[in-house]
Amino acid sequence: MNKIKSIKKEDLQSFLIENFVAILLIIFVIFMIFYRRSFSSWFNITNIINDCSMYGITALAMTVSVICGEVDLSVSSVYAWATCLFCILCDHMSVFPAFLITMLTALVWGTINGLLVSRLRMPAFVATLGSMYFIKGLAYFITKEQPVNTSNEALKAIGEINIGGITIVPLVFIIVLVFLYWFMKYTVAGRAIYSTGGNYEVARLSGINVKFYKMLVFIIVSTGAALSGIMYCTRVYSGAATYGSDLTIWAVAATVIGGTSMSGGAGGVHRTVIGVLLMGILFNALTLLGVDGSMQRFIRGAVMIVVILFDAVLRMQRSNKK
Amino acid sequence: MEKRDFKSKAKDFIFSNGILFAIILLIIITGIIEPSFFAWSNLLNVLRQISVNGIVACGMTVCIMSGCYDLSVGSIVSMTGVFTIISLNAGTPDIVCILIGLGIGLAAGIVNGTLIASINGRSGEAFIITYGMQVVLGAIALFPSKGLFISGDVHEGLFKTMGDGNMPIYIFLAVAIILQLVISKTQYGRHLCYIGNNMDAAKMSGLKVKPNRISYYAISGFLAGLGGVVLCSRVTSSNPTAGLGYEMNAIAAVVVGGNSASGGSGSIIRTVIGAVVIGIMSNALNILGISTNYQLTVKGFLIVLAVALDIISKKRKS
Amino acid sequence: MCDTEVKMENYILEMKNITKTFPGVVALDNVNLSVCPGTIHALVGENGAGKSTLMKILNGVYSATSGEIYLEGTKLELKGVKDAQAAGISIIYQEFNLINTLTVAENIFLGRYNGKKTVKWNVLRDEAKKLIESLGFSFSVDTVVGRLSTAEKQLVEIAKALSLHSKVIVMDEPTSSLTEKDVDMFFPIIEKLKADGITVIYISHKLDEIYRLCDNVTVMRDGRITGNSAVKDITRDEIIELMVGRSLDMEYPARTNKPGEVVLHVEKLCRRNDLHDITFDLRRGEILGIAGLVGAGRTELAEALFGADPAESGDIILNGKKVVIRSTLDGKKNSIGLVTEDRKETGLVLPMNVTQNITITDLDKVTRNLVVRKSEEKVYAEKYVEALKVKTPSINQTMNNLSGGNQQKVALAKWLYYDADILIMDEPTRGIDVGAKFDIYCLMNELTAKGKAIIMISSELPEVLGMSDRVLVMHGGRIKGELTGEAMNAETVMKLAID
Repeated sequence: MNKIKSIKKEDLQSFLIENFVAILLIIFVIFMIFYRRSFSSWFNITNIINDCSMYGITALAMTVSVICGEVDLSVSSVYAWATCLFCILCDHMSVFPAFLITMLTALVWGTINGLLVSRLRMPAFVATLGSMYFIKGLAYFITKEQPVNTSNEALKAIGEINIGGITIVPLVFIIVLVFLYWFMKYTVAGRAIYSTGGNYEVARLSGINVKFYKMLVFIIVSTGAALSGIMYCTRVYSGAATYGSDLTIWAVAATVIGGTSMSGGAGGVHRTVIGVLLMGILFNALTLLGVDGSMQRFIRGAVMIVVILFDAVLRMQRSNKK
Repeated sequence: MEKRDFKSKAKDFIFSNGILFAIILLIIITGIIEPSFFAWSNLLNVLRQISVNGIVACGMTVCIMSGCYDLSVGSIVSMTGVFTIISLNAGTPDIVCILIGLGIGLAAGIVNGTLIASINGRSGEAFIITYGMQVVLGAIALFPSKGLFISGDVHEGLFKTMGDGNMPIYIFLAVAIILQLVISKTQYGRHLCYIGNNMDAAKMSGLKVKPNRISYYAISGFLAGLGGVVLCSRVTSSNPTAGLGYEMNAIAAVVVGGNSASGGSGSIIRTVIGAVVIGIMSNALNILGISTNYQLTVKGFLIVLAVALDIISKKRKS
Repeated sequence: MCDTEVKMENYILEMKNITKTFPGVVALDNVNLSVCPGTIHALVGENGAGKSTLMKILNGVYSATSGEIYLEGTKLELKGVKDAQAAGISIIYQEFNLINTLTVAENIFLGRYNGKKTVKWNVLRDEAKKLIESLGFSFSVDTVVGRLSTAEKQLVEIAKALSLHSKVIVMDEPTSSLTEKDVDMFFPIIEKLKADGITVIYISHKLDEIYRLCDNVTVMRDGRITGNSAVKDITRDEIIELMVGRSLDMEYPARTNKPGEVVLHVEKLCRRNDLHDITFDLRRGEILGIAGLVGAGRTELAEALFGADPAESGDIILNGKKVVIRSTLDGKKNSIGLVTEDRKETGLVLPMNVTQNITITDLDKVTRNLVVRKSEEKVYAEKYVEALKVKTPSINQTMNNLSGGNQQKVALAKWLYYDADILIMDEPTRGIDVGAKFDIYCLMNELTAKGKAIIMISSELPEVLGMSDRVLVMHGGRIKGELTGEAMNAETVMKLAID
């Protein structure tokens, strides 16, 4: 009897420690609800949902790559690239082919990153750092360094879809979430990504084509980032190479806060939903509190550093226990 | 037999220095299109322009030799510039302003190093933490002026001389020479190689790994601070985003110069060559009318190519 | 081996004339192994005898330089692990091939998932459950493998082998890190496999287990087969003779000097769950052997003494003075040196040269006016390269290019250069050739004659017994016994080591 009790206590303790950052944020949310009435208004809630689901799509894709043990730094540039290309294309053709072509280019960026990492065994950070600048430069190039606008009617119509304050973006987020959840949980490819991230050598010896899956995750991240970019276009009808500079940090932080460890092989896209919501709520609240842009940047960076440190400390503790 | 040896040696040489050749070719072509490119005044101008990046790249070399990158240097450059100019405008003596700038850079570096060493972070953690620091420090640079330019109340004196005429070049060369001697001749430099190649073996041989690692980021931060001071002295104002992209230029200088991207060895001489070559290339691209934004693509490509060639040449050797 | 009337084609597995050479080494020399169906076949031999290499060839990890493999009379062409699995051969390694972050069910079907593109979790779990139950156990197949005990991981590996419909399962020292209780639970499972008609190749050097479990035994030594017999027809001593094959005094130089006064006294050293109340003495000029199984806490003890992973409580008394060792630098300052068990990962800086790897422990010695003098380094490097007979074209050679034995000598040289009074050597002769081994033994004698004290950790029992003045046996993070003189024999050590 005593024993059972003590085990439960330990479980609770480890639960609290493992979700420390998330719990802090939830406390903050409760504080906000009482402190600012406008925070819990329906208008603001839909605002938060619309806002955070845009970057959230990239966060979901980033989760897949973190599960595989890699982080892609080029998402911010792919996002910017997608806004630029999509807006330019929308002025010359209808929305759907523009969408397809934009996604196709994202596929190319992902493949290049993936090949550098999986075939050449280049550290993902260096490879994606290089492609981050490379793609950003190209985004400047196709926009001639000026923001581009589109006046595509169909796009405007899509952007104006609004059900009780909710736009099309959360809908796309949910579709991506359901798809990636199914993909990671029920397909052999998804499971292979878990195995590759969990232990590369064992996965390889078990006959899993580890190189292919390492490449595949970079394609997933790139297309996710491009989709986020296109979603942004449905709201602002414009593109610029400077968009999305905070996307990488946002997505990694949401992933790790959600509970997917940087060590790879564990976690899940469904967990990232919590991380996405918490990031969305945090920055919405900061805006409501009148915190200015540079302070918000500061907090964004700090949140990221804290969650990474926390993740690392947890990992060290776990290996010590063993 | 000898012939084949020569051939494979030549191949190795090209693999490890291929990018330098490509860029030198570009420079020659530019010189032919635009003869004024080779004018002494233009070359001196280039050296003046690269000196800040060169100083930062020297610090980056130390970090990369230790096996980790420092992505926060650009923000450190911005931040030190802002605070140096603010203290200058407040009427603080020149020497104190400079020390404030250097101190801020050093402190930021120590924070980086302490965070990374305390979790025993490898290159992945170091990347993300210094990336987070890039955002945090970049935001701090925005605080005092809400993101606006601050023009400096620069008068004749020590601060002004730091960015005046060819002084930045002398500072850059002095930093490079001192650091090169430290790396190649002293115990500290040897320990850097041990730790960069195999942190665990270094620990098991009784080396103090953590304080050493913190010092690498401290050097990188300090030199970024120095770069920031020189930069704002040169332009007599501070821009909170002045350092944007400096980390990329620094990394590019290190790897294009032919240093290993994975650490364990390196030389400041190579970094200096890399910085000069990239500076001349930027200048050439400017003369050819290609904007700095487009140059991102070229530099990103160069980094990936340099690292790829480094990996391939290592594979060939083993 | 099999009943005499059984013909050759009735062997389930035959490995014929297998030879495997690595650059400079003949790992296997014309090896023939024949296994009868439905038996438990023991494969014994000292470390480095070639057992693992032979099994890796059987599993498709290595390809043999020459020779053929027949399973049930058909010749196999094994290009990789998958081929071996498809043919019906599975290996369970000492380091498990499991992914710690995934569940039991998923690990069992890792990389296969019944050949479909999507995963049916219900089916997967049911089948996994059935397999675990068929082994006589019932633990949740949804548990993450990282949380399982070693014995349970072992079961998962067996279940995985069964799910592959393996005809032959190779177990590489399966009990090496199991407790006595686990072993009692584990043996019935192997017997059950046999009853189900599965052939088991059982690699071990614990003779007790072989007599308890196995039908036939094959003995290997130095890459050759030295004996083949039914277990009931061979005595313990005969097996040992086949395993060792040469007289001990040939292999180990005689110890001549007598240990002096106590230089190191360790009192009640404890750390977390891996070290408990460690108390012992070390004397001047002594070689103290530490025996025990993998995971007994020997390396942990070495790291606590050296400061790599410091002890949490207890005293270390050096030459009568209590010292505090919190870091490797403390260990070094107190003149303790550790030659680590993994020279590639923690012993040497492989991309750097011989000189730099020797002087790593003390650059002060070669520094004048802040500058590390290469000319002085050279003098020391040449001295130790010669003293230790390191075979290298030059002292500027990169460590990567040296053979294992010469690398090991350099890993040792750096502590001789530092002139450490107490030398802890963790598996000092692992994976190196006989000649280099003998050199290292002689060196140990020389060092102790000069008054140094050595703690030698080794999994090779003959080495521990042949070189030590005294032996401590560890198990479960404790010292189980101290043996000297007559009591220092294999049986006693093993008894204490297994608990």
